[in-house]
Amino acid sequence: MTADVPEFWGKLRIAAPNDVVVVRKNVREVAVTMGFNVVDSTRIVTAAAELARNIIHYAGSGELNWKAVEDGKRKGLRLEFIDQGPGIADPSQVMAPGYSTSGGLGMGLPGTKRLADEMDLLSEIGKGTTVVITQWLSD
Amino acid sequence: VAIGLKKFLSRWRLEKPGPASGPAPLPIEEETAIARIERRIWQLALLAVVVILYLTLSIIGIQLLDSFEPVSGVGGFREEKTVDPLLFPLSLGVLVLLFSAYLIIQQRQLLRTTRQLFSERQTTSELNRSIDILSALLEVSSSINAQKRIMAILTTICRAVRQSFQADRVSVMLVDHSGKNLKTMAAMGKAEEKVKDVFVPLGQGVAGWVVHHGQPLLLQGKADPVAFPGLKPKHGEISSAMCVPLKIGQRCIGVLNVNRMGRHSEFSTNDLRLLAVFGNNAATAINNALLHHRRKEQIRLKTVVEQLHSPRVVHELIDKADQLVAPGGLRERRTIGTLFADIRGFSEMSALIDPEMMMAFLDAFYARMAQAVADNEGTLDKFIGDEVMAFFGAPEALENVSLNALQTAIEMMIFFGWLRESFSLRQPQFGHVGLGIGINTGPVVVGSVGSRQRSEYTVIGDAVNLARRFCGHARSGEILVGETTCRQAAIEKCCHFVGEVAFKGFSGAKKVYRIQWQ
Repeated sequence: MTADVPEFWGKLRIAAPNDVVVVRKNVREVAVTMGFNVVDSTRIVTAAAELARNIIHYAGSGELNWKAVEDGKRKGLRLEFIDQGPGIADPSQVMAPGYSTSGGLGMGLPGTKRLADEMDLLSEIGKGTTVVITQWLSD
Repeated sequence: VAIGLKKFLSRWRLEKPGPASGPAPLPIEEETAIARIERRIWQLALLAVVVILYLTLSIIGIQLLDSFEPVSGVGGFREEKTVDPLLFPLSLGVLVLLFSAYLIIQQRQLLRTTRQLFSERQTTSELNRSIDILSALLEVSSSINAQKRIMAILTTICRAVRQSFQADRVSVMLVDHSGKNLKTMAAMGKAEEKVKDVFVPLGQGVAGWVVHHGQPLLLQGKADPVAFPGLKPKHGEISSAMCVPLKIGQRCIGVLNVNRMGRHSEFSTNDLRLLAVFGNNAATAINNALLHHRRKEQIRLKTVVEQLHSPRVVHELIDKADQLVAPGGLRERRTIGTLFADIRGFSEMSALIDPEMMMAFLDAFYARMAQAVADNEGTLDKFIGDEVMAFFGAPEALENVSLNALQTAIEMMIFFGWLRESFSLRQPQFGHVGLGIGINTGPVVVGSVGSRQRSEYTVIGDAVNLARRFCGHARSGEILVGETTCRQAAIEKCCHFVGEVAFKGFSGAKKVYRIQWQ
């Protein structure tokens, strides 16, 4: 995060299905304000909603931190989804398309990775999971 | 002499209160006790009369004897008697007479006291009965307040009232949803099945009168059809009836009917007062149960609807539910963004893939498409086979209907890509399906269409038809929009002008734009 964009940071608690609506609204507002076009803002909002739903489904509750980031010439939006849920035994397995422990499509995390420019997943069994996605503003 | 005296005394004795104006007649044992005292008074009176006759005859006899007795003594002077031999019996007679009179007075006082005692005992007995009834009803009140199921509460009320008031039939009528009729919701006792599901318009009949006036009513014998217009013939001869309103504040939610049939025993005003007190408690319990039921139903509906619409739209739908479901209700002209999404290559694939897999795919497709619509505050109109129709801007007005429709379309494309990839891992044929989307913004009529039994909240107009044409024109992976949508969403950078296309049913060519969403 840089000093010239201090207003682009925030935190949200995720614990109930209605919180997904709040996540979408906040992420879209930040994205549009930062200058993301409708396609890119929709992509990051879709990714954020998917990760928020994952937290509610698998961990019960967690939080979202967002902040504006800068990488030399580029500016971007970084979202951190943190939960203290059961954690993921094999992160590489869940990033493979079609893998699901809940009978779903198995496309949540791999699909989200494709929507964002960058994605990192950190998880420890019994301690929780942190997913960080970053979307860079295109010229 | 005894018969004549009895007749005389019957007129002279203490007046008994009449059954019409005072309390109910005394029990037989108490009547017998009073009759015994009255008989004693008659006997004493008879004795007194006999004594009076005896004294009268004695005095007359003495006078006669005195007039026939010869004059004796020297010089014609009567011989003076020192003691009259009849003085003692006469004095005794007078004493007996006085004593009888004293006893009669005492017996009359005893009679008066006995009557008062019995009357007070009867009042106490009635009071105890009222307390028993009230206690029983209050006990029922607390139990029904703890219950949540409306039918269980109504049955408990009917049973408790029937037992407490020794009624032959009890029924509870509630004001229906229209607010214009009373409907019998529960009944117990004689011919109960005949009064169930009976409808009575408010203001008609006895029950309608009670709801209209909000006053309890006590009727002895048959109700007067002139006083209660619309009175329906009753099942069985009702000899005594009570009808009390079930009120919440000033609002009447129904009535409680209690009847005795073909009997001489009548309800009293005291019974009516007790029933009215119970009615107030029962009304609160019934109202709470109705609210609980309504709340549960709302939550259930909300849960169902939330799967199809955004929370804000759901809130609006619940608020305007009655207007929305009524054909012709809430019909208005608005600028709406309409979206059609259709699977490409679906029919061809159907022949190659087993139906269970197809159903699973469609389930996932519908779920994801509905989620995209709901997340963007749209209204899911319908699924037609492999096609989805949604609109934006009703019932909830949106700031930019075109933008919301466009965001939905992009999300639908993203989700469809995930679906295709996931299912093609199991069935490679799914890799050939695609999605085409058309969006158009324009004035339409929005509202409920259909019959009262089945209606749908939808949009109708040329702008809707054009959106469908755009969808039909879109190839796999394409989002096609009209000029208005492109302009309103302010997405010129993402719009690529495809050309002017002439669509069937529309005069002149329409400008078509493709959204660069990937």
